[in-house]
Amino acid sequence: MESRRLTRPLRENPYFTFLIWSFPEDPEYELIGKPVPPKDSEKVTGRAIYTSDVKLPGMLYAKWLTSPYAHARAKHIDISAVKEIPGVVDVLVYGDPDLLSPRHPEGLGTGMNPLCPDWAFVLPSEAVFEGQPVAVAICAETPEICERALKLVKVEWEELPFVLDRDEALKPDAPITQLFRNQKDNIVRETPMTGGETKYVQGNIEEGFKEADRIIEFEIKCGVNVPAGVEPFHSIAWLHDGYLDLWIPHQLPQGMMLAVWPAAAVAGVPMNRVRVHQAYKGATFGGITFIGNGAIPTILATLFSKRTGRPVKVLADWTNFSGIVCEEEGRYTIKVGFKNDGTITAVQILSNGTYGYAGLTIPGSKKLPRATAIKNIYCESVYPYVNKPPAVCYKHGTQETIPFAEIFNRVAAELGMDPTEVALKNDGCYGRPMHPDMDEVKREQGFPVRDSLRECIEAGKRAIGWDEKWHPPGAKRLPNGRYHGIGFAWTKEWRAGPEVPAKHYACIFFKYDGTVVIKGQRSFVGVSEPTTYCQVFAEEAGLRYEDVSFDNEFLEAPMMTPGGSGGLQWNSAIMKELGVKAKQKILEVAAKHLKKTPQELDVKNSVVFEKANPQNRVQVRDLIRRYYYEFHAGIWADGWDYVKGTEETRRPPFTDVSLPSHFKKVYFWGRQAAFLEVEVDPETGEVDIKNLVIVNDVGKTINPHGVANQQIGGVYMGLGRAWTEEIVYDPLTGVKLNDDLSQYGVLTMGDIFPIHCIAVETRLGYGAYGNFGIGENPSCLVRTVLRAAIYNAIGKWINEDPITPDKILKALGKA
Amino acid sequence: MQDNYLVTNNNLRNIRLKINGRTFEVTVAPHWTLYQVLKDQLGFTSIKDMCLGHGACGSCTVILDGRPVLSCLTLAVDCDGKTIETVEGIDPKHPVIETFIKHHAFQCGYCTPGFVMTAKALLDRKKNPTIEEIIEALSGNICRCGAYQLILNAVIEATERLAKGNR
Repeated sequence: MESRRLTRPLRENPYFTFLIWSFPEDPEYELIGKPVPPKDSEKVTGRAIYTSDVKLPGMLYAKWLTSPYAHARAKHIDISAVKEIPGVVDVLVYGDPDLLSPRHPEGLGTGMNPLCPDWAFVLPSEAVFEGQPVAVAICAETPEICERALKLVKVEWEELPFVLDRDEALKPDAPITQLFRNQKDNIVRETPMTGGETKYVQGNIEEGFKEADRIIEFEIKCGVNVPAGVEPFHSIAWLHDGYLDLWIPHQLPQGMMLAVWPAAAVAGVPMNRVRVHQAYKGATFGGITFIGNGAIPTILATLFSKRTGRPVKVLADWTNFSGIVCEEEGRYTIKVGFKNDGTITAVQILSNGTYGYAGLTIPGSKKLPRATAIKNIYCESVYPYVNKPPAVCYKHGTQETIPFAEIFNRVAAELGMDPTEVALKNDGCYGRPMHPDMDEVKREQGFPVRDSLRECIEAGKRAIGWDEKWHPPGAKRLPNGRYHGIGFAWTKEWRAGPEVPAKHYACIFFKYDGTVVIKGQRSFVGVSEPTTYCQVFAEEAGLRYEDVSFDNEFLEAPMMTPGGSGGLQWNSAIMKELGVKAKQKILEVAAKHLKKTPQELDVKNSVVFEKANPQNRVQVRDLIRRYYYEFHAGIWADGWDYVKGTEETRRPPFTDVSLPSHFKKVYFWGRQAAFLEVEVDPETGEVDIKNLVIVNDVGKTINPHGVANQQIGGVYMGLGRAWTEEIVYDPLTGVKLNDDLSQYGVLTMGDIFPIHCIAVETRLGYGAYGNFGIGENPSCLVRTVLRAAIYNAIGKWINEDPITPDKILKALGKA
Repeated sequence: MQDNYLVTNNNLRNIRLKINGRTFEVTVAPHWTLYQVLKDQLGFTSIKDMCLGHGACGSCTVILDGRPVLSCLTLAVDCDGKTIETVEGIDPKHPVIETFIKHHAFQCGYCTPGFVMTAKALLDRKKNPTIEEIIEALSGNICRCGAYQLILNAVIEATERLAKGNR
């Protein structure tokens, strides 16, 4: 059953459709899956305050010196001219006693915390990439004074040899790219986050290739892309009255603790005297705010606040372009063995992975085993340190999806098969086919026996007209002289590890006027967090949506983030648990008031009533006022409640799941697909996107606008990476040549093209109502579907991203 | 952000701005931008900046004498005696505000005030723009979250409502 559940203008928007692919047997809810007013509408009226908007009385500003070289050491620093400038309040220089650390000669940094995945220093002497903050920071009355003062800092630089290319960095005679690590080569070995794993092995790869009728090998290369176009990173610290107030540009609560802990240590206050304030975050997408970018400015702001006695805002404006790069940069060498019917027998992926604040990922090691029936898999990655910024994950998962999604399209191309057929043939879990093996498992766990990939493909094919439009590669030339192409890509749901929900908490408090506030520590980054959470809680508690709000500043209750990717599964479960508990409490108290048992009562729209006699009723607000001391203690829920399962939460489709057996048997049943239609101009190499269908199995839609926003948002970011965005480095100097928004190719409204969003509801997710978060998937999918559509158009694979016109012309033999 | 330490009494200028219907007298240095005056001196926090003053993102858009301008590229001294609108001054019942909220035409929201102002400037000067004209008008604004389709939904509906005289 298809339904449209999005607000729509009267005049049709030719660039957008949204459909929910649901089924009649699904129960109807009051709020779940329905359009509701957003809880963060102050973003539209201009009343929303972001960290960069915050201004405190007497606030000072601080900025860093950044390295003009790709690799250099500040040998001698002269700040004598700086001190003469009126308005300069404080200067910190490498070697200052306040910056010393017993753990590393480069001084204070994230490495002081053993949980941090990598070193990042507040003011190191060695810069390992161009644009890195280094050696000097100025604290002044205004940002302009900071900038003026920084220009007067005299630094004697020792230029050091640099390496940008990851393969070059791995050669035995390569210069050492990051001297502070005190290594004899550039190979990343062990970090606290990964334990040093660089290899994934399943089955017997040699046997798998022997079974194959055919073997293909190919290589994909991805360029450097950066966040760009986000709120500048600002950290504020104010040490006063024995308390440390912090505004941290950080999305991840656990990561935020990594910033709070060192900041408290630097301030000399215990952590119970630290208050973290959560202003809105302007476009962070997950990992952008990872540890180095969140913690280092925070530590510096705290130091300056301690030294000056005033609030200090550190302006880490460099971060968007110079501080981090996306994790996916690198080379993927892929070898696939398969039978003539499209069954894949072996996959080997060798890569030179990126490394940074997110730790290590072995491309192919997660999606291939979790989402296919392929038995023999070998993935290995070597991680070199190079002279580029550390890598992070944002709109996460492309590093995994690139090798994964490519495989099925390449096999289909070799065999002349429809790629959707090859995908379905190899779909499965942990080396077992989806049918019939997984059907039984779904039944055992209380899930519906649905086939996510098949449904996504069916919905997508119908929407784009695949059966009429798909053709052999390079076979369709249009009257306008262009090539027509159509492509397909798929992947599995993105989800954080199965242990994640157990780390997350939230609580609620009833207010005297009958409203309820949900409290948890959660950054508002734009995935409609307050709206979605309030929908789930209000649905379960039987309260009116407008009576519920979400307060995200409760540091002691860290929730899973980001809420739009995998996090919604777990956060929705916690919200559901809270709603169930709140309803229990309301009915218990109402039972006394109405002289009935809780079982005889129900609550809807904030009214408690007797089921057999609905006129016997009481407003929840009157109940709370009358019995306030029974309500005011609040109610807690945590991931463990959900994981263990209680009578209340044991409802299909996620009922008979309980620790530890449940999480030893977590499956990834959710699938995602994209279909893309393009025209390619053989004279210019330009690609014109005619039609994109993005199909996400969302399990169950909670907030349809949130779903649509994640779908289209992911499309634009993913297509930017695949098509228009790339940081260009000067190979002679290692300096970036296009590190500002006027030269970096972020897609705008002017690039708009028709997007058809489809939300498939299989209820196969482990989240509340069977939902999946989809924040990561669309960007991953379009990364690959563009290549597939261009191949279908011109009959040539473009193996290097971004796919710019010059590469297409080269493939066509015209450049 | 203003720098009181880089200016002297000789080059300071007093200017008068009519912002959201109220008159402000401000003393500015000749190199200060309208963005600096509105955001840092007068506290209009709706005005955002993601391109660090390159004029590349549209987040700092305000309406100056009826035209959308990038406040980061507009000198404050050139605005003496002029009328300025920011999001704070728009009636919450204005169709462009209501439709952005109704269609959830935002994600993180950082770029949203710039989009709203650009859209309002278009709808103020053109009664019933085509969809292509809407796209053209908004193409200078960047939404890194990529909410373009829902933004277009919102502006299309605002256009319809205004065309019908429904404010």
